[in-house]
Amino acid sequence: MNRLDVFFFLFLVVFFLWFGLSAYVVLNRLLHDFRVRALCKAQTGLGASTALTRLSPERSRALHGILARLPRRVIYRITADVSQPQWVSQALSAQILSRWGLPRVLKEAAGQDGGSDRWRRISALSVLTRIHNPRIHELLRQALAEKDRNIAAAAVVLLGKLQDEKAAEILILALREEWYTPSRIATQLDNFATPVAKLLLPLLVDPQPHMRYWAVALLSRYRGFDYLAALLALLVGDPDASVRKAVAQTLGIIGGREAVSGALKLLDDPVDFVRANAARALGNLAQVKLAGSVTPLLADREWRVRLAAREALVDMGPAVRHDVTAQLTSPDDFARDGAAEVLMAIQSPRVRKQLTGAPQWNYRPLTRTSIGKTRRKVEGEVKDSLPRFGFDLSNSKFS
Amino acid sequence: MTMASGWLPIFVEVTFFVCLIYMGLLFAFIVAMLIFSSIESRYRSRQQEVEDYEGLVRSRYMVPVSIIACAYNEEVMVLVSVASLLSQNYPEFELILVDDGSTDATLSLLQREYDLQPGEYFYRDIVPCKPVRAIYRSRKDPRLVVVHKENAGNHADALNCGINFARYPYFCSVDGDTVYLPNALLKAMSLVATDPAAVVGVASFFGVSRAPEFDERGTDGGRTVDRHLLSNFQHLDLMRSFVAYRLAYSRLGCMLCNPGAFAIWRRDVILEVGGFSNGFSSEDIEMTFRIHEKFRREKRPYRILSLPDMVARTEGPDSVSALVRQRTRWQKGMLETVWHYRYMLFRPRYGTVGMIGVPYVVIFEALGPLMLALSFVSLGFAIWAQLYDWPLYLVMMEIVIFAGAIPTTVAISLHDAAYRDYSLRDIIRMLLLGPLDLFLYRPIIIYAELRGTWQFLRGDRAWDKFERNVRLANGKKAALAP
Repeated sequence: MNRLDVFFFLFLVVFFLWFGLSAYVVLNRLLHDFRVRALCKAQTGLGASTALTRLSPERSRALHGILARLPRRVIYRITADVSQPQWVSQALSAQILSRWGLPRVLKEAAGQDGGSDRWRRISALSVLTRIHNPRIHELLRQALAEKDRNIAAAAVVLLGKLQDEKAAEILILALREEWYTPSRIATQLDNFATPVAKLLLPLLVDPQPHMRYWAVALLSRYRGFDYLAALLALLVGDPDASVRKAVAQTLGIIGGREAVSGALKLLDDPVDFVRANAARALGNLAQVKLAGSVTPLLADREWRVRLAAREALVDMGPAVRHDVTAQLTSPDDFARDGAAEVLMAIQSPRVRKQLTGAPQWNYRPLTRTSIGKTRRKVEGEVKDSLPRFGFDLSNSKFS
Repeated sequence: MTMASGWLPIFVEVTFFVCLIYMGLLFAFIVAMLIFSSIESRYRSRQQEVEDYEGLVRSRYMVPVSIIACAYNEEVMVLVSVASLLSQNYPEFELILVDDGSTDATLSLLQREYDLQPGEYFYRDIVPCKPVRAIYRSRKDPRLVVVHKENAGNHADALNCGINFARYPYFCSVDGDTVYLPNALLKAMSLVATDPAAVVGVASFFGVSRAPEFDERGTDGGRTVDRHLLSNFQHLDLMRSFVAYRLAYSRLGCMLCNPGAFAIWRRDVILEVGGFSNGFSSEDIEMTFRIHEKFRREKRPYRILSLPDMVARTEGPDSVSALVRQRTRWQKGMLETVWHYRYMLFRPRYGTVGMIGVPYVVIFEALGPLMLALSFVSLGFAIWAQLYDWPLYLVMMEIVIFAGAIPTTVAISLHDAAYRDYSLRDIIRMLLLGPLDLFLYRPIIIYAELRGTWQFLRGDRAWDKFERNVRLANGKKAALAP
């Protein structure tokens, strides 16, 4: 063979490789489109998203006839896909169980099928979750404890779908054992439709700080729960700063007398992010009468606390004007700058919106003219008072 | 007339074999990368299928993100871009738009559309940047803050300014000329949320269009590609880069460019390395190199990931001259960075970055244009001296054409297998464009790369931004027909 022959042979190899790959892409797509059309046809025949269990035997047979033509790999893959409509997942789960049998699916879900395909295991777990198999909780617990993060991630999502107390218990166990990223586990617990507060409350006295933290954070959903604020207020003296921070955040959400007193105590916390969150909590609760307790934080040594104090005062609304104006004479530069920023911000339309959106006020409703007048008055007062306190608007620089 | 005597035949023969070995090495490397990319693409798409995105959108525990959009004279695109960013399907984020001293209507358009209120807002001068002239917050959407600053002539300065205003632990650097898909942030941040301690950066694929503000959907609801040939080639180029190569680098832990059009970074890491440097033409490549260098040297765990998802459509130049300017800058930026970090080359202490990533960039991207120039010179000599074996040359040319089209085909295959979003007609169009790349697109890129190399050697540091594509006043896309 001369050089030309060698290169011609190489050309043929490369060309057929390109052609073969291109043909594969097109054929694969055609096959996919065909399957999608078949599934759409099945859906149309079924009358939208009717559950498989409610199908007439005739329709059910027709659907299974279509699904029976799909290869195992495809069926398993679609079954695990959480974005698929409910009826597709149900139909495919039924298909898997009828074609390959429950014992095999259980083995796959337990990772005892001899193969090492994590995705097949996840599909098997999805099937068993959908049919609420009695062994599913134990299988998901095992999966969650796996070192493979993909299997653990899928187990967290599937436990979230089960929505029962046993699933919540396993998720809490996973939080304790740190089997998976805590925020992802907390996301599932937070989205539980059934209340899990009674599982979380004992964790408030857990010896592990991260468990107390998550208990406090997750309890913020249970606003109407009796004595919750009082219980949380007890944790303002927790030795762990992250727990105290969570307490401040949760108190800011649930509100109430105990919440206010708890947040007030945390304003003096030695840790900066706890003080910042306490200030924000008071801002959330819009406790105007406590503005005087927040304004000293405008001169805090930590920037994040100063920022939080500014935002909290702005959230409290225009009524903080008196307390904030007093800070304009503060010897501290940060306090003066912060006060000026707050005073400018509280004339914002957000405040106007707040005023107009207060239907429970039993005095004469505010009109657009009266709001305008009030705003102009406040604006005039602030603008007048700023230079009097030696504050030059044109050269103002914050922080 | 035969000149086949003396040094010329030897030169031609040696050059021929050098180029052959070079091409062989390149194709071997590409094949290896395609295998890794296929594994990674399959892995990521399976991972996404079992991800509970609905739950994440409602979650109170997702990491909040500061989106930093830099805009300089972006009056054509800025409103569409901002609207797409504010429509992100993500629980908590803020959008900091840094107007880098625009001289057109960028700022006034934003003021009008978003009812911007000027004011003094708290920020910290942590990383250096040009002075801020004014700060605005939107009355319509309080998540939007517009910072108007003095122009510094580079993207890094605007990014640094945005970082000073950013309040959240992660930020996403985006461009003011790009339209983002609603789940862009969610898809990228879901990876961060899984392992926030290790993931310091995330990139994702973005497509190219002449007018990204138009949603390109066909009658069947599938995504369509731009009908403009140059845009098609650019789109395929990016698809190849992100889907066929960067996924492999991501898997191997040596992804060397987290591109500015969509790059998620952990804020504390960027502050730790001192913010973006304005001493380079491409600050995004340099930052990625810098983080690799630091973390590898200090033996700290970290990951910079690339995702196969298409998260955005950016405006690509629709004229050859504009494309040349853009690619010249990219090449120059890459060379500046590689030269600066040349000590990482083949150094085992830098792991896969030093042993795979940097060598690839140096051998095949930095030296690629020079090898091509050498082959053209050799070809010229060979033709002039009648040394060339034309049948052999044509066969080799065919090999290069189809071998060069294989990465494109693999990229299309991986994208389609994962997302099935393009119509079959567009897939066929893209597949057929693959072999034409060498004739219709590659010469432009080679010219731009040679120009970029020349500018780098001359020490030219100018930041050359391409002019926006022309639109009619009524905004009709038809106006863009070639």
